[in-house]
Amino acid sequence: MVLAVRSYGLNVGYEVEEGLLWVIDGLSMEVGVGESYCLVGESGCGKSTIGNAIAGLLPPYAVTDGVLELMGVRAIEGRLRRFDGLRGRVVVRIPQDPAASLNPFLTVGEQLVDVLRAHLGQLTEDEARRRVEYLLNLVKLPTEVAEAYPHQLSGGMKQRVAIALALAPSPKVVVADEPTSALDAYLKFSIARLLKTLRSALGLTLIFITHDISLARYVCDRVAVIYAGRVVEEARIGDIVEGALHPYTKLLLRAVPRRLSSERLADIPGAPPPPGRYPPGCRFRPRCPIASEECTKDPEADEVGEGHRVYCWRWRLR
Amino acid sequence: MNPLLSIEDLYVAFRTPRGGLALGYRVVWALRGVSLSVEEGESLGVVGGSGGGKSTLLRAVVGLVKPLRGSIIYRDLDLLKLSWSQRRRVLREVGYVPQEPSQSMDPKMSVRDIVLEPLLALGVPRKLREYLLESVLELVDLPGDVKGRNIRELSGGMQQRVAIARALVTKPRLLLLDEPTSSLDVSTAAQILNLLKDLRETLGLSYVMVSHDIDSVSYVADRVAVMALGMVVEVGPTCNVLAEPLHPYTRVLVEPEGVEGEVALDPETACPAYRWCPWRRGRCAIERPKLVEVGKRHLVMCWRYV
Repeated sequence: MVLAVRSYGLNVGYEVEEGLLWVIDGLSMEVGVGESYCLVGESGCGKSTIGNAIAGLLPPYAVTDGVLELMGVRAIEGRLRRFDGLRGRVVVRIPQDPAASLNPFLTVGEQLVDVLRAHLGQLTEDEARRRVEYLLNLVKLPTEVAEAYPHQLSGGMKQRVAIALALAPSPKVVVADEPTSALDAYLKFSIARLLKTLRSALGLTLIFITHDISLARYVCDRVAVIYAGRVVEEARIGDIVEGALHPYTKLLLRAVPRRLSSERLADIPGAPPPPGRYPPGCRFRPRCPIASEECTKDPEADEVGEGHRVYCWRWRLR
Repeated sequence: MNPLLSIEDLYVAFRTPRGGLALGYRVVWALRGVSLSVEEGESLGVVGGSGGGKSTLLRAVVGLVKPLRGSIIYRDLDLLKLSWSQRRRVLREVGYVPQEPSQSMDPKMSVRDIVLEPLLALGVPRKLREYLLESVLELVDLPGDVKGRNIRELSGGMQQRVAIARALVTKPRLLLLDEPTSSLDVSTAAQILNLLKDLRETLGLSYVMVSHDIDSVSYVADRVAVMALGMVVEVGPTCNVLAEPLHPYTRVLVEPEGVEGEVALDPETACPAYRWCPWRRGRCAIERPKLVEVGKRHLVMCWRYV
């Protein structure tokens, strides 16, 4: 069976002044076609770098190692990255800040036609209009939006336009990098709902990147919790929300205010380490309440249930 | 007993360019008759979507925008009727933590200068200033060696602590907090929310906390007010509002997952939720509903409950 996204021992680093800085370390993930997979973590843990690696949007100064396959095609192999023919038709990214990704000088329709022409070659006037209408319809925007400039649209509408742009080349895998972070509580869910419907209507594979677990629960089937460039726990979303095992996941869940509960929020002391200052062994060790000597060794995957993996030496303790 | 802060029928409007190539301005109403009060020691949360007027409300209290009508009464003094020098003395008791700490502090200033700036304006003597600096940094759990550091060297969570310290240094009774956790990560936001909870207990502060996230507001607030397009559509004890939201817009905020269809608010109709409200009547489009009392200190702006 072909997997939509498969990575094995994927490392991603950036060439900076001080030398090579590894950000993502040994990422192995398997996402089936049509699945909705979520990467959850705090800022600076490497979520966006993973998203960019999958979408083929790493900057030239990024360095890779390991393997990444998209729909069975090798896109990253060691230092080589081959995304020609994959970018757009197979994988796209929905950007974090739609306002910054739209061209303020072109109408929505012109921008959509631009993308369509780039991927489908020349189109007749009529064909182009039909496709623009179809795309706007898909993201539930009125057809008149085609005539509007980005500044005339609200934040939620801009995000819908960004989604329409991403879907223009009919991709198979969609990487949504915090698509709702600039929006308020209600709009967040309306965009999330749109992605959910699009996923089932078009059979898309969705890689959803967020720091908001309640949103992940709404959108996704499976989730990987990322800390300091590594996956610390991976499971079906229900198993994470109800039965998280890694101490970081547990604390993260208890750090979110819960409805009608006055239970004190979990205080995780300190802050996540920045790339380059990752501690040896388990990277959560300095902040972990149950860490011990053995945690100085790199944790191995502990298979605890169907598709539930924990990277912790001591999770059984509590 | 009179409330600590009471806002009565407040109207604020902004003039914005028509945009495009059109000349002239149009008037946008940011607050359209807001009435709210905060008791001594109480914590009021204000929630709503963007553009609801939440931030404008706080800015009006501290005097950053000028209301067209209404009154802001702090301990029996109408702030809008005071002279600026009088108002400054009164506002010493009101701390303000603006949105986005990184945007509200001069990136070239040190932590010490930022925290002490309000005291300079009040003419507090030097020795006392130093003492206050030490004690306020301790209150917000910042290490003493942070004083000389430049603000942009600090993480987002630490910057927010500095902003809170700056608001606390004049020893206020009331703290106005504008989205104190929106730019922060999950774990840092939790630290700040816990800090706010603790500060309230140790200092006996009152809060007005604005946020678009109803859950983080309810962690700190005793009462919640829901704002939509410059109006308060519902206000009541946090647990009542969350357990049984009465206004259609409050329902959307409390349970966004359950919403079907589009729920954009419309400034043209008398009730902003008219276009999609399942219980609408003809009257709702043309006549603005009054706030009706439906329970103890629980008010809803909806014709259904009249």
